[in-house]
Amino acid sequence: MEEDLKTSAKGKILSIRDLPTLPRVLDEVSRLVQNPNTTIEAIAKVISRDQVLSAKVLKMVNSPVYGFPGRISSIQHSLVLLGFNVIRGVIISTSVFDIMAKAMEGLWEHSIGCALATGLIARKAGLKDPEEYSVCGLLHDLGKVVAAVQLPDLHKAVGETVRSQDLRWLEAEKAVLGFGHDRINSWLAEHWHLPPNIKEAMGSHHFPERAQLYPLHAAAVHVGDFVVRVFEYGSGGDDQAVPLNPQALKTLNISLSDLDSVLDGFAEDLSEVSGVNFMPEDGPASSGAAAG
Amino acid sequence: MQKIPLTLAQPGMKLAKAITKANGMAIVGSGVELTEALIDRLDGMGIDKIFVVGDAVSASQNPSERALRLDHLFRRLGDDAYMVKVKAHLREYFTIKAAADAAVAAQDKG
Amino acid sequence: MALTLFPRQQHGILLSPDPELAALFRSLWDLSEVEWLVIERGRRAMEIIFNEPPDILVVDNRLTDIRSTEVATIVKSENVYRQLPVILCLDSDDFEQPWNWNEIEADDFLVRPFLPTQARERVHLTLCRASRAMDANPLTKLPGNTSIISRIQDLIDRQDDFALAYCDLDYFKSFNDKYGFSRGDEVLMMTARVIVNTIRGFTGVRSFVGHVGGDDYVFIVPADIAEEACKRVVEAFDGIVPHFYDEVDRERESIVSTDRQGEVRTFPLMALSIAVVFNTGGRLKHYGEASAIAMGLKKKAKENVKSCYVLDRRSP
Repeated sequence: MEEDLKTSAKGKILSIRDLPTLPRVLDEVSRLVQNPNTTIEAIAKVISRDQVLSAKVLKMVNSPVYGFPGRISSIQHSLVLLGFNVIRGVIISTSVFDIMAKAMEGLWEHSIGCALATGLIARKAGLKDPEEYSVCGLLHDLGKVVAAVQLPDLHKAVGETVRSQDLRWLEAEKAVLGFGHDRINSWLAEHWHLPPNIKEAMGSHHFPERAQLYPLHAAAVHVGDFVVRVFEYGSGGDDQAVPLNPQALKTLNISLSDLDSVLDGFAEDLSEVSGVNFMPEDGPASSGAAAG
Repeated sequence: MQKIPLTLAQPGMKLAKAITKANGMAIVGSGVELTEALIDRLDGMGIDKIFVVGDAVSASQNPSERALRLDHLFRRLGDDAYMVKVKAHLREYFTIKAAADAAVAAQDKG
Repeated sequence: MALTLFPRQQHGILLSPDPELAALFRSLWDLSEVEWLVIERGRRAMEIIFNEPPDILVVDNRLTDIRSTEVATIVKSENVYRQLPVILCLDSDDFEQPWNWNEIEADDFLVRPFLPTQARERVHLTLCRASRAMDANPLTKLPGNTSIISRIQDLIDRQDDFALAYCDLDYFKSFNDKYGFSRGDEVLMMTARVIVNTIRGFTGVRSFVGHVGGDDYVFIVPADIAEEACKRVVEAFDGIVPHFYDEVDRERESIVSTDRQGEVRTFPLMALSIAVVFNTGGRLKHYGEASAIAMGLKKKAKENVKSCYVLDRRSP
């Protein structure tokens, strides 16, 4: 019974054709790509703030069509390799959430916050290519977005279970679906030929000890998720801290006190991130992070 | 008062601190209300951070508020010895931060 | 006709015993555009086709000595002539049974009664399509050697100012030896995308990118942006190429591989060398000069193990 649900859910998840995003970043990128003199760097900077657009370009550049599946994990590199015309095509064909937009804002903030925190942790741990870790952080809850689109009733049931039983989102997913968004992440990453580091971080961010090949990526996102939840910037669907795996800090070779400077950096950068609130252009800058 | 990046400055916000050049010469005085033109000029001068009155931008990083929220966030992790330790560490971190902020604010007033 | 579709006069061969069809084809084009050689007997034509392959071959089903489809098959079965586009002239009742187009490798067909304007446009389309597909590199789909040479010679003949850049990869061979050719192909595909997109990133200028073959590429840009183009290509390549190595090698920034003498050696990560030749004031007369100068510069570029570019600064 449970296996049946899993199989049909997996089919549904992988059959996703149209993954919508929120209007704010899409509008900004659309404006950028209309100007042929826009630099790739400028577009990359904006796309790096949107988990759906980032996932789309990574999926495309890593598709077998281009001949190097699973190699590219940086947004900037993806854009260089795809070229302006393809990027414009991706942007033009992306739709936006309509009825669910409001409900999704918290998750978008949570994801960009996690990207930020994960990048800071990677720097603190002295890891190479910290941007790569940020991408992993950005995509860590993509499975929740896809589930919301492809399994809307189940997604709603998960949300209700979170509230009625005071569970964390992952616990509620397991209660309702029998599997979590971490599993959905793995399916998507596999199906889209995403690079193994991103795949492992997406699939193991709740249990970084399970990561086989890229324990650093999984550990960094795990701690990043913890940090963004402590600040309650946006929302992963519930309002609880996640259990921090002490092994994750050991893997990264940082101590609890080392986290202090990560928290400092996060607090400082948070105001900059708030500048990309997912509200209409003319909205007031003062209505900051609304925990969803 | 809040330190914000110029990219988030909006017309109507009030400066909480004067903006000065490296040599200490004031460019714009404290209390001045920002306008579109002024923001553009500051941008042209390479100013990237300014102090504005009130909590103009998102307050979720306010450390005293963070310290108060910890009990709520960790409500289901009370049995986990390691998480109890983590929580205590965070409480100390945010409390010290809040005290430091309060000290800076008091100094600004005086 | 104001429209110029082709850089030079096109040569067509029409195999048909039908004088009306011959007259129609000759009336449709000015001699300076497409010159038609009409041959009434098919068998006799084969030798001419093989000796002097035309740009297009049109075969009428009314040939008495050979079936039109057989002509197409003979031409297409030989590698050297595969690229030659073939149009068949048919009657509508030829299609009562569906045709096996896998066996009859024609490129298009015309059906009696012929509509003059349609015949003209079909011939144009077939020619243009053939020139597009002609020598595209099978891996990267970029224009290959024939297109590259004709583009360069064309620019030289018109005495246009341009910069011609030859790019190739250092230590590609050792990468291939260690990781295998399919991983090597990944790098070649990546390199092609990097060059094409970087060059296309310069908007409003005429440019060209070709793939000579293997790890050799060519791009042509206006002289004044050549240096910036090299800089950007090198920068993008250097940023991306480490990700095509396994984690260990990327960390170490080198690979351990066996060289041509069978000795174990350490090789640096792949780098891109670019040699740029300028044609200003019509100083180049022939394509060969450009490539000779470039090969000299290339040696200089290769002295550097890191990605780099060398510009030929000699004035005309």
